[in-house]
Amino acid sequence: MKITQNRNDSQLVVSVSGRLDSSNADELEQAVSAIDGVSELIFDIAGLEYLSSAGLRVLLVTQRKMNRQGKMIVRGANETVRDIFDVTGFSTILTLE
Amino acid sequence: MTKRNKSVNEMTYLERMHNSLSSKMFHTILMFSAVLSLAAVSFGFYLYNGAVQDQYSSIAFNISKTASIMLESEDELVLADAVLKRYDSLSAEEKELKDNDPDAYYELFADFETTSQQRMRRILHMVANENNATCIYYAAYDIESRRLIYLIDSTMTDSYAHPGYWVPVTNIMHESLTTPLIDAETGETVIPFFYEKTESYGYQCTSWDVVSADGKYILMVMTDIDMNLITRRGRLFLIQYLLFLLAVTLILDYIIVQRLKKTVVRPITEINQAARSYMKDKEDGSLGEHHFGNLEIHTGDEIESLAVIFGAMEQDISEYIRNLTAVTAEKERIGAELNIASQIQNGMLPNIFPPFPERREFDVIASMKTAKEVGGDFYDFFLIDDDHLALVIADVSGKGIPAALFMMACKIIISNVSSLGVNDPGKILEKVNEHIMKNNPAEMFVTVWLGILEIKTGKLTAANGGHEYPCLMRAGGQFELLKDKHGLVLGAMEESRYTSYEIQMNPGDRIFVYTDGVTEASNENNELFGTDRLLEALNSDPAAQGNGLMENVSGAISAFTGTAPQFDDITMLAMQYNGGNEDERTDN
Repeated sequence: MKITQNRNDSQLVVSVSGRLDSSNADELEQAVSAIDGVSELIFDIAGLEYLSSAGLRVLLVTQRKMNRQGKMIVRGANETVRDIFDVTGFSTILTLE
Repeated sequence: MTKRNKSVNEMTYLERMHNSLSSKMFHTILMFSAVLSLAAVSFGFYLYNGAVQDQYSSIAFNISKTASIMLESEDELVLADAVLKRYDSLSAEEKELKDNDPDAYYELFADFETTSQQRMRRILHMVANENNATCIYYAAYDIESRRLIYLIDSTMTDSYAHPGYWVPVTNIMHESLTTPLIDAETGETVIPFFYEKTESYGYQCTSWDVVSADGKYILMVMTDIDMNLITRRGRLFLIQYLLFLLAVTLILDYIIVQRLKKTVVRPITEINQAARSYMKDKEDGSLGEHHFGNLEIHTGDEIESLAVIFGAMEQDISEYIRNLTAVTAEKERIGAELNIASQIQNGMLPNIFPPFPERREFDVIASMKTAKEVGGDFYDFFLIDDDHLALVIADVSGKGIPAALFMMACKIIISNVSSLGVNDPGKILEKVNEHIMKNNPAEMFVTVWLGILEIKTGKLTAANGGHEYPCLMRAGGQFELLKDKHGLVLGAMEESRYTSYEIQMNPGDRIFVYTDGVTEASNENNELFGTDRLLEALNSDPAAQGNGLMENVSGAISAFTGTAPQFDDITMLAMQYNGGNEDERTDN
């Protein structure tokens, strides 16, 4: 898994690629723990091949935070990841683009 | 001899002694001193020889000079002139008579052995004797033919050189005799001399004073000094000098080695012994801490520093071992606790099959294989009342102990809420979600599929909270994925809504639910097992019942993942409906 962050004022773009599972979900959680003052958070997951429930949890926790301070967009999910979002009902709570 | 490649541990005591530091030092110093002594002696010999040669050539020169002053009279010059004239007049053959018939040759010059010549001989002999010279002789050097022609010889034995007697001159002698006596650079007069070793006279020093030179002959007085005795003396001196040096060297060597033993070898030996006893204690399992700490080394140099470092290292290692022991014990304790936790968790799941032997209307089978000691998956089934069977399969986010704790809570909440008699899975999940949301500091969530079978009618009502699609098989048909209506995972949002759906189960129909550990089991190329392979495994043997069905799936997963480690819990639950009463029961 590879994480890159690009902060532009109040907008933060977090790009995640590779496999996101319980072995590295903590890493992502750390990366997005300091998002004070971010009003728009964009998860660019075009390069994400797979995500497990541990990864979903990070998205959920972040979504909850962003619900209080702005909006969160999840961008570029591939078919596998979109299926996971659909099955788990996450497509109903995430803003997918 | 000790082989070079032999390690110190393999050596015998004697070999170790031979290779000990002091022995090595002694040998090294001895060798060093021997080389130094030889160099000193060689250099001494060179200097001594030079001085002796300078001295004796100067003595020989002075004698020649003195003699030449005594000979500086008309008589001698006339004599020389006359002898050389006679010599010149001789034919080559007559000159050779000197060797072939000496007496005949001497006869040719007999008239020159006059009284005055004899007197001069005696005078020269006396001068030679007084000055420890071998002989003094008045002679002429014929540059062209390289012959030395004798005129007067101080030798008083019969073998003296008669006037006119000649000898061929060696190359060394010729070089010396023809070298200019004034140094070209400094303009100073140099003392002419040469040293020569001959068979008849041994080692000799020769110097001369030139009386006159006319280009054909050089007239001169020459003096020979015997150097044999002097050389012998020199040699004796050198041997004594060498012996003295050797003795001094040995004494110094001994003193140095003793000193080094005290300041270097002994402390190192102590460290060495401490290290050995440390290793021995370590092998025996008893670790006292003061092998190095007790060393009394106060040399104030690198060796003391080494001992101090070893002492510190020993303490560090002891502490490290203590820590490691504690950590290992702690790890073992956690391992034991995990083992019990695992037993508790497994005990929480119904695991006696068939679970309801008296109920023939349905068959239930389930299995769970956790990736770690404790898992985050669970299945559950229970009779809510006589006519309602609840089926649960769930997967908690994450793994390990947090997931296991959360899983236990979820399982209890689900079974409690289900037992309230609502019998509407959607409503039940909403209620469960509410409970979870109330106390979920770790913000974990769980995917749940809940089905409630009305046993009499075969009506299966189910709701899906973010869980995998169930697989449904109609009697005589094949398992197919049931794309059911999905709600959000439980624990994610407050007031999540879940809609129930109904499936009419007919006798022989089966439903199979599973967690993502099945479909997301991956092989070494990170390919996922997927639903297609799952359906294939389920349909591989339509006759497979109960446990056989589970084994078909887990066998297919193992074959697919190969050597890749199991990454997630693998949980499955299957139910076959046999009909509401015994008459309808099929023996599938």
